[in-house]
Amino acid sequence: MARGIFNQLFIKEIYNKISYLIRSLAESAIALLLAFLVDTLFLLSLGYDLHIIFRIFGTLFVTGYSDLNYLFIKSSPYIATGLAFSIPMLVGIFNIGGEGQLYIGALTALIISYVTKSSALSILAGSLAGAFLGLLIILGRVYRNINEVVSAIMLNWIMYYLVAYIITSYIYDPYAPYQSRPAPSEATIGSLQMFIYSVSIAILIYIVLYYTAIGYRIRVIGKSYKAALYAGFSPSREIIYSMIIGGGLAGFGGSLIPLGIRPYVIDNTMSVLYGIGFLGIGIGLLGRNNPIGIILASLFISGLVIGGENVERLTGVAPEIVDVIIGVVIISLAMPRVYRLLVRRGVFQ
Amino acid sequence: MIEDLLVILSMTTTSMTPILLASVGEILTERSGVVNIGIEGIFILSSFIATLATFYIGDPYIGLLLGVLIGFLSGLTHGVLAVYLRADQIIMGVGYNLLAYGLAVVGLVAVWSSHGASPTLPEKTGFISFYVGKQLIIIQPLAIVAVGLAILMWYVLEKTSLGLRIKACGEDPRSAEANGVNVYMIRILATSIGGALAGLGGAYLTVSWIGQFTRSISAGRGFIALANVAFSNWNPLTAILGALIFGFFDVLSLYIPIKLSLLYGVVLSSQNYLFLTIPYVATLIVVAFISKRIRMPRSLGQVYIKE
Repeated sequence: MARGIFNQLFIKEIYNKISYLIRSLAESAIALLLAFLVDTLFLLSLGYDLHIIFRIFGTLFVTGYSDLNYLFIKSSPYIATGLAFSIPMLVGIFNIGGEGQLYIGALTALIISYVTKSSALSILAGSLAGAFLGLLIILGRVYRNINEVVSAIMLNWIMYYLVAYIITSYIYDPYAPYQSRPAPSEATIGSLQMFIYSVSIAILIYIVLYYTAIGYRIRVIGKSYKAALYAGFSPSREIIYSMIIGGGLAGFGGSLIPLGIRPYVIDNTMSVLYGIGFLGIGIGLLGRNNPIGIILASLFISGLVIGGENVERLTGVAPEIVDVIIGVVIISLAMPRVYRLLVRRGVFQ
Repeated sequence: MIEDLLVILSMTTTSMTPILLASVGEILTERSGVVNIGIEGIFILSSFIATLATFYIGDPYIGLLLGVLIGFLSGLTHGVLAVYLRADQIIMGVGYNLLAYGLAVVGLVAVWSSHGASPTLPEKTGFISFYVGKQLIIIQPLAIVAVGLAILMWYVLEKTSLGLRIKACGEDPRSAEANGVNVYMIRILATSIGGALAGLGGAYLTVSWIGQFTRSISAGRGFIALANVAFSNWNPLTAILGALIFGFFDVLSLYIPIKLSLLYGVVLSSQNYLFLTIPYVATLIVVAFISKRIRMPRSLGQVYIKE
């Protein structure tokens, strides 16, 4: 008897998991279709004909995923910034400051790599720098009621110019003064190593979220703030932890870039860093704030970004066409109600 | 010294205008209970469209008008999706900012084959200029319009029954609905008008002020406007003061390096980056000081489900 109930519960659980997975996939698929529709209309209005538009989409998907090595390099920092958005999002904090946390992480890792010539110490220092920035934002929110979106955006810009200042004043390359000296070769890491670091961290976060007490508290606070209070949790502590972790992850992602991507430098316009923090928001949403989902979403988005670079070379259309796609995806995923309405009307099932 | 002050003041009236226009619009939007953080995106997109229109139609005023239209349509979309489809307003705003940036940059490359900036406009909107002593002072007509709109918005919100209805939607939509206010309609209208004002500010950036579209035309000004909304405690009159402060720091970040290089004859290169952080540092400090005392509309950003 008891065994029967257990089996039923177990089957029910599996059923719920599968239906959630199907719904998530359907939502993502519809969001992507919508994004390609908007992209097509936009490109048509700019005067490109359908022939070129199909070639653009073909380039995005075929060339984006053909070079695995490049895909690993690209997706590693995205996994980190995706997590950097999602962990605070789980407790209801909107970390739009991944961009600034990434910049300061990259700069700190680069400087430490000159001194220590050790990749591990550099990555650690970069992560700590990002975590510190995350801590600043969340302390402002918890103790002074500063809106985290505004303070994070201001810090993004401050970090942008601060990093540019430090690079061009103190660690510039004498032969190319607009960029930093490269990281020493002892401290650099390979593409596969980079990817393994990121994936391991994502899996570690997954274990913490789903198999430890602190992860459980974080998930409860996200689902119901009142229930968490009633259960005796102290939400502001978990909220502060989540932003330290989020900032640290973005800093970690930043530190991978000067250590792992040729020519191992940062320049005064942040050309290797710019946008990775912002795209992390899309990746976190597309991955449903789930670390495993985020790994898959990072691979997918990185392919699009690589494809975007090729689109420019082949057709002259700017690589920001990928931003248009991801922007529409984010907007569509902000509206879960649409899908529920569609399900109720019997479009699915 | 006096001349420096005059120049900085006149430049401040120019730089405060887009911030003030967007702040007044966002105050209206947020007072009705909707938060739209897509101002940055509206700035970018409407300044691009305004530049495009000025080049191809040849009239900067049509550029301004189209900028308003783009802002209005963006606000309308945001409002409809937020109200009827109950979208998460913050996430939608982030998506919109990315979308608008992508559209404008792809358009920039497609139209002018340039990754950085459009060519300089042949013609900008007119301005008022006069001499104080020997110093030429330039005032943009839209600066005066923006201040007028702020006063008008204060009057509507605080002194009319329409304003009372709008504020009721942002404080307690259920009671508003019970008293016969159409909450959905008010929220959508407020968001559309708010978007239109941000669109005017965006178009102003290129066709009245800077004279060309660049990919970093907005440079966080949309978010500075959001900070100004909080600074003003959702009061359009205080927003004028806030816009003056934020506009002043914006000017200072450009004026100090120019003045220093004139005075000492040295061209500062890397130090310029430090001066460029001034508006953002100032915004952060101002927000840190006032955030304890502000009171936002009670139902801001929350979904209202009609029964």
